[in-house]
Amino acid sequence: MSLPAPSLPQSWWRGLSRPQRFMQISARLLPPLGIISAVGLAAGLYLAWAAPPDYQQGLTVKIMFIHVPCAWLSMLCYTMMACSAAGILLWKHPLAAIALKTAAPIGAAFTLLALATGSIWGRPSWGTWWEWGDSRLFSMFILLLLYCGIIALSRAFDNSRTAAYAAAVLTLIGFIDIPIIKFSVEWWNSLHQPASILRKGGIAIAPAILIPLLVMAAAFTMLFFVLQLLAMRNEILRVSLRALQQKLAWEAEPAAVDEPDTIADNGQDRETGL
Amino acid sequence: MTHWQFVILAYAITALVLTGLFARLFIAGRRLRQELRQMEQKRAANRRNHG
Repeated sequence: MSLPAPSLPQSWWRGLSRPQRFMQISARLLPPLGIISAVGLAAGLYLAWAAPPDYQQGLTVKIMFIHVPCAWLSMLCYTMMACSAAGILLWKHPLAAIALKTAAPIGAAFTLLALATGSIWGRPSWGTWWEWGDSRLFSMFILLLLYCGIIALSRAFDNSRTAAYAAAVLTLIGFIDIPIIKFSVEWWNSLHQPASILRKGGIAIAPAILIPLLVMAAAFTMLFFVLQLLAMRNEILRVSLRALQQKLAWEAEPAAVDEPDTIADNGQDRETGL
Repeated sequence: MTHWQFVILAYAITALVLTGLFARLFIAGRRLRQELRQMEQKRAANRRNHG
C-alpha cells in the first residue's frame, strides 16, 4: 500500500529541510541582504553622527545607537535558537540543529558587544563600569554564560545528534532568562533605565534620536541574518567535506574503514551526513 | 576620558568584533568551498584510475 503524497506545505517544509535546497536559497538571498545591510549601516552611522546630543546624556547618547541594537539582537538570536531547539526536539529538522549550533557564537558576540558598549556608556553616565547587584546587567551576563555553555555543549560530543539534543535542551531551559532580561527593570530596582520604545505609554524618545536608532537596529538585524546564513552555509560545507573525506578513505581501503553510510546515523542525508 | 573618547571606544570595539566575525565566516566559506572542490576532483580522479 502506497502512502498518500504529502500536502503542499508539508512537501515545501520537507524540501526546505534539505541542505542542498537551503544552499540554493541562501546563495540567492545573501547578496541583496548584504547590500541592504551595508547601505543601512552607512545611513545609520551618518544619522547617528548627525543626531543631536541628549540633554542629560550629552554625546554619549551616540553609544545607544549600537548598544540597543546589540542588546535586541542578543535576545532575538536566543529566541530564534529556542525555536530551533523546538525544531530539533519535536520535528528532528536537520537545519534546526545547524541553525542552533551556528547561531550561538553570533549571539554571544552580540551579547558581549551589548555588555561592553553598555559598560562604556555606564562609566560617564552612572560613574561605574559594572554593577553586580543590578538585575538587568546580571541577567545579560547570565545570557552570555548561556551562550558559552551552548557553544561548549554543541561541540562536546562526537555524535552530532547527541550534541544537538543536549544543546537544544540547555537552550530551552535557558530561555527563561529572556523574559527576566526584558522585565528585570520593572520587577527590581535597577540602575538601567526602563523600556523606552516597547512600553505601555508609547514611545518615550524624541524623533531625532529614535530615527537613527531604528535605522541602526534594522541594519544590525540584516547584518545578523547575513552572518547567520554565512555560518549555516559554512557548517553544511564542513559536514559535506567530512562525509566526502570518509567516502574517499573507504574507497581507498574498504577493509580498514567503516562504510560511509553506516557512519552516518539513520535518516541522515547521504551527501551531507545530516 | 572625554565623552567623545567613550563614544569612539564603543564604536571601535563594535566595528572590530563585527568585521572580524564577518571576515572569519567569509574566509572560512571560501576555504571550505575550495577544499570541497579539490576533494571532489580527487575522488573523480581515483574513480577514473580504478575504472
